Order: sequence, then C-alpha cells, then structure tokens
Amino acid sequence: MDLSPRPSDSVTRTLVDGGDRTVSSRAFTDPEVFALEQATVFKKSWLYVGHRSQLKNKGDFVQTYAGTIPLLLCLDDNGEFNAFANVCSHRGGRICQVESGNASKFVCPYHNWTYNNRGDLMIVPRQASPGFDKSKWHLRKAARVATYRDLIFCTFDEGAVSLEDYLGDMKWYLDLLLNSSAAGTEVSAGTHRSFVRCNWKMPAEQFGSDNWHFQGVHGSMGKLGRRNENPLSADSFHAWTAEGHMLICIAPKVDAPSAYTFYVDELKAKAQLSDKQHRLLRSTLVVTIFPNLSFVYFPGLCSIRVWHPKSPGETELWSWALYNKDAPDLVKDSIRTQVTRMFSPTGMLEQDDLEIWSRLESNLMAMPPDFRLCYEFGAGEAPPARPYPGKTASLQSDTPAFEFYRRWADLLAEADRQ
Amino acid sequence: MTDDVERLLYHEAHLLDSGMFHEWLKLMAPDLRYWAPVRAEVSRKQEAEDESQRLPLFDETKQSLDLRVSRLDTGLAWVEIPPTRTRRFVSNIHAENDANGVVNVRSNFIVFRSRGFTEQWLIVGCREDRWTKSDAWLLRERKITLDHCTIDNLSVLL
Repeated sequence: MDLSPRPSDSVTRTLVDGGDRTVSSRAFTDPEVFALEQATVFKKSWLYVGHRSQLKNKGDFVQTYAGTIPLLLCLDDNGEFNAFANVCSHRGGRICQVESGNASKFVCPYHNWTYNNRGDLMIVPRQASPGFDKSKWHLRKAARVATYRDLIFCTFDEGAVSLEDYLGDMKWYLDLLLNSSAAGTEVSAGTHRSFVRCNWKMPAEQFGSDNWHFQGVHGSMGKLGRRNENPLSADSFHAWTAEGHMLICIAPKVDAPSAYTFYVDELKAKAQLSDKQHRLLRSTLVVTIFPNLSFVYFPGLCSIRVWHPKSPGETELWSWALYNKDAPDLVKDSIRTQVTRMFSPTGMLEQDDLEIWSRLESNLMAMPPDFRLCYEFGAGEAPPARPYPGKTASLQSDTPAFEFYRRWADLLAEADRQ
Repeated sequence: MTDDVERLLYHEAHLLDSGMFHEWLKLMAPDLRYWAPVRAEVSRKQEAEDESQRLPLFDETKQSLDLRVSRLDTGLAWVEIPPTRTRRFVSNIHAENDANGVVNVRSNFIVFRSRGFTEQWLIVGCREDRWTKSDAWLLRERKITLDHCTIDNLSVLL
C-alpha cells in the first residue's frame, strides 16, 4: 500500500482543517488557490447563469460569467438555452459587446469570425485554407445547461450529477422563493453591479451561514427598530447540505402585517406551498447555493445575486430583485424599492457588509500565511431537531460555514487526484 | 438666476462635504423624488428607452433620506466610521425656468472620496434637478446619472 501523502491530502488539510475546524487565510488570498478553484470548484459545480424572464424570445441573450469565464447565455431557435464563452476561438476576441439583446449570430469584431447562438462557428470570411474544419472551432461550450423552476444553471463538467440532485434538500427552501405562485418568478430589468473588495467566498459564506453578523454589522438598523427577528424561536435555524449549500432562517419577532404579508396570505389560498413552507414566508431567509449564488429574503424584499470571482481579493456582485411574475405591481414596485434601499451598492444593509468584507480581505492579505480562521463555534453542539429538510444547526453554529469550506476543499482535492 | 443657482449648489456641496446632513435635508421638499438609474452596457438608444424600467441605484423620498441620515447618527453605520472624506466639484451648470415656477438645473459633478489610510475613488456624474423657491430653495426632484456601470460601495449622498 502506498502510504505517501498525496498532494490532494495536503492541500485539503492545509487549507481546511477538520481537526481544529480552521480555514487558512490562504484560501482567501493566494493566487494559486484562486487558479486551482477555477479549475475545480467552478468547473465541477452547477453555476447560476440567468433567469428565464431575461430570455423571453428566441434569440434573446445575456452576458454573465461562469467563474471568471465571460459567458453568453442564449435562447436558440429551438427554444433551448445555450451557454458558451464570449471568447472567439481564433484570437480570443469578445464576440458580443452588449450586456443583453437579441441576435441569431455573433460576429467577432476582430476578424469577423461568425457564430450562431448555439456557439457553433458558421462563417470564416477568409475561405482558402485547405482542410480547415469549422466544426472543430466552436466556442467553448458548457457541458450542460439545466433549469430549476425559472433559474438557469450550467456546468462545465460532463459527469456532473443532475441539477436537481445537486440542489438536493435545498430545493425545498428554494421553492419558498421560486414556487409560491404557479406563474413562477421574474427578475427586475436592470442589474445592480458592485465592486466587492474581498474574496468571493467571504460573502458566499456570510449569506448562507452567518446570522451572528446581524448584531454587529447591521447594528444601525437594529437601533432604528428596522429589524424583526427572533433568533430564539423554534423556527429559527441554520440548514445545510453535503453539497455545500446553506441557509439561515430567522422567524419574525412580531407579526408585522403589511401589503406584502396580505399578499402572502392570498398565496396560501392557492396552496402552491405546504403549510410548513408557507409559514416560513414570514421569516428572514438568507441562502447560498454552492458555490456563488445567494438570495436574501425578508417579507417584502427578495434579492438574487451572484458573487463573480475576479482575483483572490476582488469580486463583482451582480444582483437583481426577484418576485412572482403575477404579483400585483404594488408588490413588485415595493420589492424593487426595498432591494435598492437595502441590498444594492447604495443599500443601507449592503454598505456595511461591503465595508467590513474589504477590511477582512486587506487584513488577511497582510497576515503571515500561517494565519488561520476559527470555525470552531458549534462544533460540539448536538444538532437541534427541526422538522425541516437538510441538516440543521443552531443559529450560533459555524458548522454550515465550515461544511461549505469542507465541500470546497474536497473539490480542490478531487481534481488534484486526476 | 444662474448666479443664484450656482450659489445654491455650492452651498449644498459644502453641507454634504462638511457632514451637515440635517442642514442638507432642510433643502429637500416633502414630496421629493431622488433617484439614480442603473447604467447598462448597451447602445445609447436602448439605454435611454429602458431607463425608467430598470432597477434604480437610488430610489429615495424625503422620508428614506431622513432614515439614511438617522442611520449615520446611530454611531453603528460602519461604512461611515470614521466618515468618508469627500470633496465635490460641481460644474457645467445650466439653469432655466419652466412655466410652473420650477427651475430646472443640470450640473456635472466629481466627488473625490477617501477612506482609511489609503483608499480613494472618484465618482462622476450628472444631476438633473427641479428646484422651487418661495421663502427658501427646495429640491423637488433629482435624477442622478452616474458614469459608472459597476459601482464601488456608495455610502455618500450626491
């Protein structure tokens, strides 16, 4: 038996240590780790690339990113979604310049190589190259594209499990946000885009697992009486899954009727959700779908957001308001306004997060590489019994966050072994 | 009139750069609309067509601006502890009266911001205002067009 340590084991143990539940600061700062996670985590996972409401007509497209890869998501003439790199096979030109639109073909402005909206090379203006096979030079395509409810995901891994299996137990919670009406959901026109001056994992972690930061970072809104949460309720908990997804659910402190809660009550009559799910629509829900898709929901506010990695210390946040397609205009307008005032580059909650994260990043960059972060809290706790899907933990526990990093490290290590 | 408007905008800039936000709020009309469209990476024509339908960057009333200032007063709004240093330059002022006693004012701005020991940014844009004057000047509407598609944490008022 070969007992010599494999590089994968050392990577895993060095970056994420299950013994003392620590994570190396290098996970957030090291360019080599960043490159490795692009080749593993972002290659192997299902990545959110768009919402069905952004692609209504054949030929509609939007630009996004899959990890660092500039991506085009297109609805082709057969009504199928296609995802491929916005990067010409010839010299790497950007074949599509605008953020969204409608097109049946994309012409690279550099040498006019022309592709259809499935990513196949159709025309090369200079014809005379004997034996040149256009079919070889299609754009870099995602291996698979799939939808859950109205969300569109792609993966670059041929062997990935199905999207439904990937989402696993978290589907039950996503349905709260995506399936409270049979009409489905839509996202706002217009995208909030923010520079986030930290590693993409810091916000992804916080969004699914950090109830604790509310008291500190968002103390200002608490002091102004703008928060309605009861962390001690039996309906307040963390949930997480082995796939690295995580969720914070905090029950309301008081029943606060609003136009939105009346709307939620009406939805109940249509019975799209179970009673148990319906009750949680009064809660604060904050979710991360591994690796970099997050949601934040309060009654009357819902934001869907992607943390696009740019470099170890730089992330770009793209976010949208999310609401039911058949919600009254009053409800949609109010959600858009609340998202803008709370979770946007000018948002009264987001601003303080962005500030704190940028301080974390500059501190970690400045510390020696043996500096490790503590995820020990909750390690010894007996998981609270909660009648909800997934594994659960108390709101005080760092277990969901640590499991996010364990999943991340497993993916780094898996690719190392190949 | 342009002289008056110029003095008004310079006074407003001074209040904001000095952190005199409560004084600044007194310039805001009770029925104020204060908003900023999000920019899009599309043609000029398409951007103009879709502007009002896109999720805005600011969508404020007098009440919500009051809340923003109250938040700064809590001593817990970390994005402004210690406060961002700002210095704003207002220029290219164009003012004209409309028939209803409203003065329409267009102005460009550059705001220099700095935080911490070393961080610094510029934010650049145009404001289209509707002001009225009875006893005092009051801002009825402000549309802020920022010349940035991706925005750095924006905790300052414009």
